[in-house]
Amino acid sequence: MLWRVVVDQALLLRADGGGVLALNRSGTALWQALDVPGTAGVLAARLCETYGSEPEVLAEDISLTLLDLADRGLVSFDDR
Amino acid sequence: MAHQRLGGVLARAIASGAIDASDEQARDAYALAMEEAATDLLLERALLRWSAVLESTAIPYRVLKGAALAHLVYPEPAVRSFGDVDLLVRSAELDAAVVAFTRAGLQRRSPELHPGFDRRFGKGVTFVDSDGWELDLHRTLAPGPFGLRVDDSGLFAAAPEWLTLGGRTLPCLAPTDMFLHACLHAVLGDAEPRWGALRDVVQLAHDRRVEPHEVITRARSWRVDAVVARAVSTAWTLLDVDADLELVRWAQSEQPTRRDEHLLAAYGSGRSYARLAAASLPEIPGWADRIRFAVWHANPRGRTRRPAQHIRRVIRAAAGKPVPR
Repeated sequence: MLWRVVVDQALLLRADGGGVLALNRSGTALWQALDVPGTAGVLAARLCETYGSEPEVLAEDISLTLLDLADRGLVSFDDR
Repeated sequence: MAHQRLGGVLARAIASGAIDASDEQARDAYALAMEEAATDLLLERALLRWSAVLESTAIPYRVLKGAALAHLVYPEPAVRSFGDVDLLVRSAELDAAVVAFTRAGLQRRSPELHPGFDRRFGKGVTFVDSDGWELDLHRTLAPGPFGLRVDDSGLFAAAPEWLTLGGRTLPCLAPTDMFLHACLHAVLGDAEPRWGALRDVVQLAHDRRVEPHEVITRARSWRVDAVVARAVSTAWTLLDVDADLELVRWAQSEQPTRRDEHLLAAYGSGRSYARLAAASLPEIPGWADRIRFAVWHANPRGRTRRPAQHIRRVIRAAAGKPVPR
């Protein structure tokens, strides 16, 4: 995976093909939080202060975004 | 800013409040930075593909400039954009690398002047792929006479810095060599130094891995100390840098020899391939290779029937006189 963050917006590109995907700000925050992998709940706990949301609500949004990124081959899930 | 590929640093400077900008200017800077970053990513993907070509044929290489500096030297890669991929191979392996890239579907931008010319005398070979992305395959760090002075085997002797990209690790130059290359590129790469190239010099001069004494020793052993001193002085002056570094004090005290001054002039205004070729001739070790160099220029691939006329053109160019077409 190849990526850049321009100020506060991430661009992602798969090394094996496809086009450049630009994430919005919240997607970028999630991408940067993924630097240390975790469950949706753990990631929500990391990001809830930034967004002032309840971790449960955030975890649902994060799960949906992760599924979308996984469909595009940009993240993968670990079964452990 | 677009020409100099400085959108990323401009957007960062506006976002951090280091410079003031209207909303429209900020939007434009941000859009430019995004465009440059997207290009950088596509070039990094090409870098992964092309470095794999060399690895599959067991040709040692080093990643130069762009991606290497963006990831290993700058605080964030988005502030150092680039326009092509640069790879260095040893002179002895240049021909094999050319064959490998040609088999991989890349096309040379221009044909070789004469078989064997590139590996003996050229800076390298430029390729383009079917999408228009450019690969600069180097065998030395600069065109012309100063490029001929660089000891390319020494570049592979130093322990490389490693660039992690797309799940792979790619070898890059050691920090001292990165700095020397940045200096050569800033002064010898274009008739007028590009801001981005000068910024590389400043950035690397502040890098703790770049040791001033090692820089000076290596620059002197390659006989490119005049170029390095010129790069540092020019960067500090044109970019208005006030940091007082040992390298800057050394650069400002350096006086180029008359010979080096003459060579530096060949890279400046009035620069041409013929002028650089003429200036290169005395730098070629050994009379046999000098004769080869002159004859191959006079009679590339045996095409011309009037080699004497071509030799006269080279001599005129060497003297700085206009060369008739």
